[in-house]
Parts: sequence; C-alpha cells; structure tokens
Amino acid sequence: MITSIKGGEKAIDASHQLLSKRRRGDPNVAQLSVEQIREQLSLAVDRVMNEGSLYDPTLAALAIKQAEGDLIEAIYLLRAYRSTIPRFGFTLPLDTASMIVRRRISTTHKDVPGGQFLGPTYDYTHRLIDFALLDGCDDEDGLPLPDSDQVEDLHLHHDAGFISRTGLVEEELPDDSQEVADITRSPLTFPSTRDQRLQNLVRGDEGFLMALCYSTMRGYGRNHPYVAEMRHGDVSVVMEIPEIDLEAGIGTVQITECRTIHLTVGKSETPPRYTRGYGLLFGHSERKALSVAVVDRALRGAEFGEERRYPAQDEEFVLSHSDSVAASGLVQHLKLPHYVDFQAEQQLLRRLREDYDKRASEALAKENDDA
Amino acid sequence: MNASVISTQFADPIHDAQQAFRGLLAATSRPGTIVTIPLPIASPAPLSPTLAAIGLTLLDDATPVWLDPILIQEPIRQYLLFNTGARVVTQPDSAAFAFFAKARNLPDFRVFPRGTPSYPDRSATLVVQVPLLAGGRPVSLRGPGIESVVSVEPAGLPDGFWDRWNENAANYPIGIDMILADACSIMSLPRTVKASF
Amino acid sequence: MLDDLALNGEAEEYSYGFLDEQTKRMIRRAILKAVSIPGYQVPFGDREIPLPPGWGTGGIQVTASIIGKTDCLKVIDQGADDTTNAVSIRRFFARVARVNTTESTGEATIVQSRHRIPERPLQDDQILVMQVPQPEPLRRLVTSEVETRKLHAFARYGLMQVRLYEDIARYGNIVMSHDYPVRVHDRYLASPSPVPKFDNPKLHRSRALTIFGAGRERRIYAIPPFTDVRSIDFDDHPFERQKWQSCCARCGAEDSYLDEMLLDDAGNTQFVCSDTSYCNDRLSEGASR
Repeated sequence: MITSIKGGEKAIDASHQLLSKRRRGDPNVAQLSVEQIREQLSLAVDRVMNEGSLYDPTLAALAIKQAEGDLIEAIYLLRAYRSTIPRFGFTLPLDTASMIVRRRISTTHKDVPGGQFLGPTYDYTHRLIDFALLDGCDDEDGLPLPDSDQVEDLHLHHDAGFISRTGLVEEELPDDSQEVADITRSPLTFPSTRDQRLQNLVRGDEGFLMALCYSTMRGYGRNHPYVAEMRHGDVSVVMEIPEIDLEAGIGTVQITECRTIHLTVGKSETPPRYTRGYGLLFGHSERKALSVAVVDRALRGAEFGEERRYPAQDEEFVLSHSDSVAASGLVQHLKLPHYVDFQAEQQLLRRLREDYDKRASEALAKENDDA
Repeated sequence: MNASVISTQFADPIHDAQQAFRGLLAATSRPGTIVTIPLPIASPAPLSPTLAAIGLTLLDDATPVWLDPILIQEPIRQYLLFNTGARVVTQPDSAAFAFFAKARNLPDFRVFPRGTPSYPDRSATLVVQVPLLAGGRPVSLRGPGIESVVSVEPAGLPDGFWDRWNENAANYPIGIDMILADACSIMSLPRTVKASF
Repeated sequence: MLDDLALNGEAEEYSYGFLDEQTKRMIRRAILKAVSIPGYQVPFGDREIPLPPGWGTGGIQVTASIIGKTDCLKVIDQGADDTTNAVSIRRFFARVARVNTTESTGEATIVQSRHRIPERPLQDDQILVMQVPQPEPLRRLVTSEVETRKLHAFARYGLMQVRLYEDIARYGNIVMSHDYPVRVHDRYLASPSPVPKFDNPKLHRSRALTIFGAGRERRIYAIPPFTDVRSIDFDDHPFERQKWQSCCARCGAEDSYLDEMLLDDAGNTQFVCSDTSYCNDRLSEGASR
C-alpha cells in the first residue's frame, strides 16, 4: 500500500515501550534510586542543574535517571519542568563573600588573605581505575567518613579586595540598582550586556564553552588568564518580600565562583592593567566556571579596544550557539521527515539537470560540427 | 487591602483570560469587528469591567501601565497591582499600556512609546472606554484584516480623532495600537488601519 | 498573582496548556503586536517545553497560548496527520489542554503545521500556526542579527533581489524551492517557513489568521487575514509554483502538492497528495481517477 511510511501512532507507542525497557536494563540488577544518583553522581547532577537553570538536586537526579544518563536530555527535562513553575519573587544577590568554603585556591599568589584550602578535587588524583570500587561494597577503603561538621570550620570571609590592592587590576563593579537581565524571560539582544552574557554562558554547554576557552589558549584570541580565585562552598539564599518589608533566608545552595584576571594593554587612553573575567555556577563545577570566566573576558574585547577576530570573541557566534538544548534539538530534527522539501528540491534539481544536459549536448554537437 | 480588590477577578481566571485573549486576537486580526469578551464579576469604579477584563488578560509585572486623570485612583492602582502585578507609571513614555475612561482624555499619541525602526513592537497599546461602539459618526476602515472596507461608528470619540489616527497610521511601522471598549465589547485599531470619512 | 496560584487547581499535575499564565500573557502580548505589524518578527521569551527546540517548540508555544477548551486542534507535519512528530504534538495538547483533536481540515479551529499549508482554503474562524526553524529570511545572506535588523528597519531588501537575480543569471532559475521569501503588506520581508513555494500563494489574502512561531530563535510573527503577501519575483521571471506531470494516484487531484511514494524495490514510484485530509475528503466525496 502506498501509505507505508505513515501510521505513526502505533510506532510511537512501541518506541516508548522499548525505551522504558531499555531504561530498566536487566531486571535482575537492582534498580537505581534517585537518592543514589543525587548522592553518588553529584557532579552530573551539578551539570544538569547549571544548564537546566534550576537548583534542585533531587529533580536533576530524577531527570538523569529518566534520561538514562544522557545529560543533555536530562537538562532538557529540567528546563521543561522549569517552564511550568510560576515566579513568586526574587532573591537578593548571593553574598559569596560569606560563603562556607569547602575549597578555595588562588594561583596568583602563594598565599592569600584567608588562606588556600585544597578541599575535594580530582586535580591531583592519579587517574588509575580503582578496582576496589568494582565490588560496590560500602567504604571499601575502611576510612571513616569525614565528619560533616568539619565544613563549618572552614567558614572564611572572602577578601574580594586583595587582588585589587595590587593596584593593577580593574575594579570590580560596584553594586548598583540596575535590574538584572533574565534571558529565560526576555530574549537576548545584540549587542548584548554582560549580565545577559554571563547567564547565557552558565546555561551553555560545558563542552562548547571549554572548547572556546581552549581555543583562546591556543592562539585564537589569546587573553592571558590567571585564576585569581576559585572557590566552592555553601551560601545562603535570601529572599526579599517587599509586601511585608522582610528579608528571609530560604535555604543554602552550593556554588562555584571563579575570578580570572587577564593582562590587557588596551587602548592608548586607558592604563595597561589586568582586566577581569567571572563565572558563577551551581554545585561543584570548576571546569565550567573557568571556561565561563575566560569566555566572559574574551567577549568583553570591545570595552578594551580589541579587534574581534576569533570565534570566542564574537558574541553572536558564542551566545547563539552555546545552548546544548537548542543545538541538540536542531541537530536531531534532521531525523524528522523532510520529504516535502526534498520533493520540491528534487524537482528543481531535475529541471536544472535538464538545462545542463541540453547545454552539454548542444556544446557537443557544436564541437562535432567544428571538427 | 480591601476585600473587594480580591473578589473581582475573572470567575474562571485561566479560561476566561484565554477567551478574552481570543476576543482580543479576533478583534485585532479583523479591525472594525465588534467582539464580546468575558468580564470579571466586578471592577473598582470608574474602571469599567471591560477595561478590567483587558487588564486582567494582558497586564503583569512586565507591563508598566499609565492611567488617565479619571482612572488614576488608589483603589484602581491597588486592584491592578494585586490582580496583575502591573505597576502604574506617571510618565506616559514608559508605559506599555495606557487606560482611558474617556476618549476625550486622549493626549497626543506621540507622548507614548511608538517603537523604533528596529523594534516597532516596543510601542504602547491604548485601551479606551467609549460609551458605545455604535451610533457615532460612521467612518470607513481599510487595511490588513479587512476584506475590502468596513464601516464602523464608535461613539464618544473627540473631534479630529480620525485625522490623528491617520497620522499615526502614516508613520507605519512605528505607531501606537488602540483598543476601544464599551460596556461588554471591544473593537481593535492596529496601526495598519486607515480611516476615510 | 492570584490566577497563577490557581494553576494547580486543575486535576492534572501541569497547568492548562502546559505553560504558566505569566508565560502565556507574555506570548499573547507578542502575538497581538505581531498581528498589528504584519510580517515583523516580534522577539519573545521562549520557554523550554517537553519537546526539543527545532521540533516545533515555537508553534507549540503559540498554540498553547491561544488554545482553549472549546477548540478543535489539527496537527500536521509534511501535510500528514499521522507522521510521528504530528502525533506527538497532537497527543501533547490532548493531554495538557484537554481539547478535541481532528484530522479533518474543515473541522479544526486551530491547525498547527510544519512544512505545509493545507490545500483546502482556511476559513475566517480558523487559525493556522506554523512552526518555523529560521524566521529571518535574510539570515542566509547576512549572519549578523544587528545587520539584518537594520535592513528590516529601513526595508532595504535589495540584497535578496540581487541574490535571486544572480540565480537567474547563473542557473536560469531561482534556486529556492521552499522557504521562498515573501513581502508582507508591502513592507516586511518574511519567511513563509519551509513550506514548498507551491504553498506561498495560499498566504495571499487568506481568510484565516496565520501565526508563525520560532522557538529556538525566539521570534513570533503573523499575517492577518486579507493581507497582501507577494512572493519576491521579477517582471521577466514571474513567480511560479511547482507543477506535476501526473495527478494524485489515490484521488486524482491535479491541484495539490504531490509526494513521490516508492512502490517497490525496483524504484517505481507513484504520486499522491501530501495533504492527507484533502486526499481523504476527495475520496469520500467520490472522486478518483
């Protein structure tokens, strides 16, 4: 019958059944719980929360489970859920200076006011597969779990000023009463503002941003970064309730904050100095925070009279292609049927081909005549 | 906050707002057509239920609203803020919507945002109460949404209104858009409409 | 706001039409401006929804913002109701908006479509919602949004004319078979979405309102009823629709867009209507070849 490729209803149902079956895997293996994902795959959860723009570790873990570990799919699930949540108010800006620090490093100075804390990091692990984890027994190394109260001891006051006191670094922007852009509500406009860019980058695909950052380091728009400070820990979230003139703490979130500084000679009318890049992310996301900070600085080129030559410096290129959900959607839409356009194009091609054949045969006839 | 402020939403907020929007969409895509829309149970006078319905449908915290001298009263400001989240502004050039209890209060349209060549959508919508959408002086409208020509006769418009309207239309794509409302119906005048009389 | 708090008053776990009321209001305002400025692309705050961007999210958000309990929805992809993406979108709305759905063009109050405009002329009480991947007709010529916005601001569309004329000079034809640009109300250059150019004339002075939604690109635009929509062409090269040598093998239609269907492994093919509703209507009316 000529309608062979139609009849999508049954096919979709069957496909969804196959998906559930595959997601469950071998039924003889215990099912993964959302709590296990949240607690034991927390870095995947952090990535999903960042790109999903929603701080909810349990929901992010559920999304990862539902997406069979496909993080871009999980990010999309979280974003779609986020669209359904009404907005009841705004929190005050996070006071990262009063972070309860789990980790804090600076690369520009041997020691910094407040001290360096290595904290949990893979940076210095030997990348050897640990076969002890294979058996899945609890605490196989026999070490006692660190006391969770220990975190409290690391309460540090952030000294944002220390780097500025060198006298060579761009001042941090003072607090202002300017409304902060929200690119999930109002679309990005070009030329963009820095708040729009930073939001876009935080929601952007980690791999894409890392590649852009990498490209600047390989000569495609060098901007000489130093990590002035990278810190990770807990900060309180405070909500403003103007109706009753009250500020109330509504919980804490884990974040990673990265400040980079970059040697900038700049225009002749501005002093040579270090300029800044900045990245603030949910959870423990240092690779991404660094990439965001370096790309943030790359996109500020116009402020310092830099020529825009490379991809990482082109805001339209970076900001329009950073989103993994948008990118994945359009790339995968190539799997949708396109037979109507294909038909139209094929018809056109046939017509062009006929013209071509005609011209070719005429040319051949002429050649024969000439000979 | 007074209890009447709370009790004057749509009877069925989600579905009445949807129906009211479809009324606004039908009116705007077919200028000159009179369309009835669902009304809230009550509204704080002198804000008519029709104007209140348009407010409940389109306003929120992203749409600064300007009120004419008759409407700029504390209970109306509170009603709009409580039910929609919209802030009342005193500068017409920062308004996304402007509400008028009487057409004769219409100032020069150019005091409201009319958009820019790059963003003509960043323009105000003027929502104007008239006594009746019929019985006034007839004029003929032409433009997108109108098959050839449509005759309308809203009452209570000030002298020279249609000349001013045509000036607005002549600046297309920049300009304001207007919604006229009587006791239960609306008629829309998008900036593409041209009047002859 | 009060009505937002009432969101979960409904039995379902999601709000009516999936989107929250704030989002719908924002999209509704964008739609009204889009209708007031025919063909102009109004930026809007796109939301993520459960279907991926590039798969019709713009159209879905438009439909979600206009649809109500009394509507009857038809969803087509490539002209057909039973293509997988159409099925998936139709089911989505049946669930989140609890509306009746139909496969018949005549019965629908809202038709959401990808890549086709129904053959049967739409009527006054119908709204056509088109899914749009790239709303900017000038994007294939100019990559920068800043630049294209300037070109629209001053209606400087010479670039497009030049591009089309170069085609004629080089190939003897305009090498553009779908997503063929149109001029709306003699002002804005607009993309009709990737419909075959066969469908372009249906937009000209249509009785129905057409709303275009581009989710990933965050733009909504519209063509009101009875609006002039002209496909770009030249005096010596007037606009032409696609034509077929054969008629539909099922219903015999000679005036519809045809899909080429493979019949066997030898590569024999047959042409049938791409618009399944149109084809079925003709068959039930007794037409056949």
